[in-house]
Amino acid sequence: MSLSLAPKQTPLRIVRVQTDERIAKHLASLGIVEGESVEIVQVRAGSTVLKVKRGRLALDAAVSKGIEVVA
Amino acid sequence: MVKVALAGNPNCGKTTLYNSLTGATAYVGNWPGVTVEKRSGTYYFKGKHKKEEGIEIVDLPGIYSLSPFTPEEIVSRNHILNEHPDVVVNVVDGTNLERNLYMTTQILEMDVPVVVAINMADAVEHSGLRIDTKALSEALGVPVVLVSALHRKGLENLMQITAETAQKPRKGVSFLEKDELIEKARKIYESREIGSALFHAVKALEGDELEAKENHDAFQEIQNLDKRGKDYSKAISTERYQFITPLCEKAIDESEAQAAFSRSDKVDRVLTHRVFGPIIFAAILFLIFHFTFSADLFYLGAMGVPFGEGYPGFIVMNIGGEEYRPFAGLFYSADGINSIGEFFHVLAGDNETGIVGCICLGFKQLLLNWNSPEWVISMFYDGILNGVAAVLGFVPQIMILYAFFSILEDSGYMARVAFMLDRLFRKLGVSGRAFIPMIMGFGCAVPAMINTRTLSSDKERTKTLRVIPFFTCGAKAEFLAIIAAAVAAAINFDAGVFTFLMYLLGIVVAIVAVVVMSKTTQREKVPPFIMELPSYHRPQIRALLIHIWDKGKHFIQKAFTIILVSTIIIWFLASFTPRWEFIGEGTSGSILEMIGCLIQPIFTPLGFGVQAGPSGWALSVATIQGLVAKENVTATIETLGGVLGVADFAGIVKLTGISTGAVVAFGVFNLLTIPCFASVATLKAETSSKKSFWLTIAFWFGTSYVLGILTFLTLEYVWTLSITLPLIAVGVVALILYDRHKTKQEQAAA
Repeated sequence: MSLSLAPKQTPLRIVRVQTDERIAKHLASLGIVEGESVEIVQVRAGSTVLKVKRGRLALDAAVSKGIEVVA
Repeated sequence: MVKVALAGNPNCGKTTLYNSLTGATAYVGNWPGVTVEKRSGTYYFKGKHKKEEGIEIVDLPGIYSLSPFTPEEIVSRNHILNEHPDVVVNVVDGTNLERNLYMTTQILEMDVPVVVAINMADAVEHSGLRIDTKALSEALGVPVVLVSALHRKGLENLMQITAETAQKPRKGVSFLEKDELIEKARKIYESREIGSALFHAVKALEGDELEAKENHDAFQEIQNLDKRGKDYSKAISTERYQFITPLCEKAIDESEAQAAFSRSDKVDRVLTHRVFGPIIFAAILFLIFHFTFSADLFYLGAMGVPFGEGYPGFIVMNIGGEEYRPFAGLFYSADGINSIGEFFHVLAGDNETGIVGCICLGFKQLLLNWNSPEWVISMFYDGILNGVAAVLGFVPQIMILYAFFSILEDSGYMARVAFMLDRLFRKLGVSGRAFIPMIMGFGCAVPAMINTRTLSSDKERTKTLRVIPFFTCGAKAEFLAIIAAAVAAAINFDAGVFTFLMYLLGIVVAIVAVVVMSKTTQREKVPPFIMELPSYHRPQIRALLIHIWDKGKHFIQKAFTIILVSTIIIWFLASFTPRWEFIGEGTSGSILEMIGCLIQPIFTPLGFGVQAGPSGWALSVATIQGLVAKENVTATIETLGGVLGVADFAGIVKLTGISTGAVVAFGVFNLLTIPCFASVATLKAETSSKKSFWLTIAFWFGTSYVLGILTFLTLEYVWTLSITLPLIAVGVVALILYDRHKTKQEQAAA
C-alpha cells in the first residue's frame, strides 16, 4: 500500500520508491530506500511525518503516495 | 598552513563546531539549511598564535549526499573536489549515525585524507547509546573521534588527529561490492588524469547530472559501458546501506537506549495539531508583534484603564530655554503600558528623549556654552544627530524582534511550521520550504534572499526572491512606526493596529504575487517537500545572545556609516542655496528643494506629489533616500523636519497639508518598493540572468507604484472603487482564462 494510506505507529517496510530519479536519489540519501523499515508518526491530508533510522522526516502528499510499504 | 574542510549532513552541528574551533560567531539554527555559503576561520593550538601555526577551517553548507539536490549543495561538493583541502573533517550526528554515514561512504571514495568527527557526544551519552569508535575506525579505514561541539569537549584531540591525518595522502576507497564496471569506469577517469577517479566513476555510473556537465566525455564513455542508469543508482544506494547498517549494529550498543525522541513527538502532537497547530502559530506571531511594537500592552488602555498623562519621567532638563523630559512615557504612556520592545525603544529614544536624547541634548548644551553660531548647532543637532538618533532609537526594538524569531528558529519549531504550511503554499504555487526564507524577510531581506539557495527549483527561487521584500524588514518597521504615529494624530486610528495591518498588507501582496507568477511566467509543478524535522531543543542562550548582538551591531554600524553620510549630505543640500548661502530654519531655496521639486510630480498619483505644495519635496527626497537604505526614510524625514522647522513626521504632514490617504500611500509605496542597495546587490548575485534581475526591479517598482495609487484613490475618493474593482475583476478573470488555456496546452503536450 502507499505510505499515505498506511497505518500510524506500526513498523512498515519500504518495498518501492516511485518518483523521478532526482527526488529518489535525494530520498535515498535521507534513508528512504527499498527494504528500509520506517514508522509513520503523523499524517496530514496525505502528507506524512516518518521515523527513518534515528531521524524524523516530513514528506508532502505526492512524495508519500509514491512510496509503497508493507506492514 | 593546513587547510581543513568541515563537511556533513545539515543540522549535524557543523557550524557549532566551526564556531567553537575558530571563535567565530556564525549563526546557528535548528533547521536544515542554516549555512548556505562556505566561510573560513582559523584554529590555533593552545599557546600558539603565529599565523603559520594556525589551521584554516572552512565550514561548508550541510549536505545529505554528494549528488546535489539544491544549489547550496553544489558549493560543498565543488569545494572538496576543486579547492583540494588537505583533510576533510566529516562531522556526523552521533544520535543518527546510520543516516549520516551514508555521505561518509561517498566522501571516502575521494582521494583526500578524512577524519570522522562524531558530534553531539553528550546527547549520545544522554540517550543511553554507546558508540565503539575503534570498530568504526577499523571498518572505515580513517580516524574516528568523539566530540561535543556545544560543550567544547574533545576539540583539541580532534584537531591534533586532523593535523596528523593531513600529512598522510589517501586514495579513495569504495565499500560497494567489487564490481568490474566500477573498475572500468575508474580507469576511464584515471586515463584522463582526473583526480578522485573512483568518486567520479561511481557518480557517472549513477547517471549524476553534475558529472554529465563537468566531465562530459568521460561520462559519455561510461554511459556506453552500462545503460541501467536509474536502476544502477538505486542499487548503489541500497549497497551503501548494506554496508552501513550492519556496521552500526556492531558499533552502537543500544541496550540502554531511551526512546529516541518521544518528548519531541509529544510536543508535536499539540504544536502541529490539525486544528490547534495553525491557531497556535498565528497566536505566536501576533504575540511577537504585540510584545515588540505595542504601546498598549494587552490593550488595557483601549479597554478603558486610565493612565492619566503617562509616566512623567525622572529627569527634567533645561536646554536652550526649552524644557525636556527624556524619560517621559518610559513605562507607560497615556495610551497604556509599554510592551518590552516599546520600553526599550523609549529608553533608547531619539534626539530629544531616552539615553540617545540625553547624549544629543548634552551635546547641544555644550555647543550653546561655546556660543557656537546657529548653523553649527543646526548642522550637528538637527542635521547629523537628528537622523542618526532616530535610527539608533529603533535598534533595541529590532533586536528584540530578532530575539523572538531566533528563539523560534533555534528551537526547531520553524521546520514544523514549514511542514504545516506546505499544503497551503502548494496551492499558491511554492512548497512549504519557501516559508523559511520568507519569514526571514521580517528580519532582513539580505540573508533571506541568500537562503533561497535551499530551494530546489529555479522558478521557486525566483518567486520567493521577488516576494521577500514584501515581508516588512526591521528597517521598514522604523518608518512604519512614524507613519502610524502620524495617522494616529490625524484620524485617531490605533498605531499598533495600523502597523499590524501594514505587515498584513505586505503578506497579502506576497501571496497574490506568488499566485499570479505561478499562473503566468513562473509555471511549474511545485517542487516536493522533503524536510528533516529536528528534535526540539532549548535555544542555546550564548549563541542566541551573540547572534542578536551581531544584528544590533550591524544596525549600529549602518547608522554611523551609510546613514550618517546620507544624513550629512541631505542636511547640507537642504541647508544651502545653489550660491552656497546658509539658509535658516523654515526658509526655502535650498539645493535639495530644487532637486526634490523635479522628482515630486512622480508621486502626484499617490497623493504626495504636487498636492504636497512647496514643502512636499521633503517626502520625495525621503522616498528616494529609502532606495539606499530603508532607515534613511526615517532619518531623512527627521533631518528635513528639522530644516523645515517642524518636530516630526506628523509635523511635515501638517505643513504639506497632504491627506491621510496620501500618508498611507506614502507608507505603502515605501513598504513595497525596491528595497535597499544591499538587497538589490544580493538579488543580483542570486539571480542567474540579467533579464530576470531587471524584471524583478521593474516588478518591485510597478507593484509599489500601482498599489500606492490604489491606496490613495480608495482612501480619498471611495467612488473610484466603482472603476478599480471592475478592472481588478477583469484582471482576475483574464488570469483564470489564461491559466485554463495554458493548463490545456500543457496537458496536450504531456
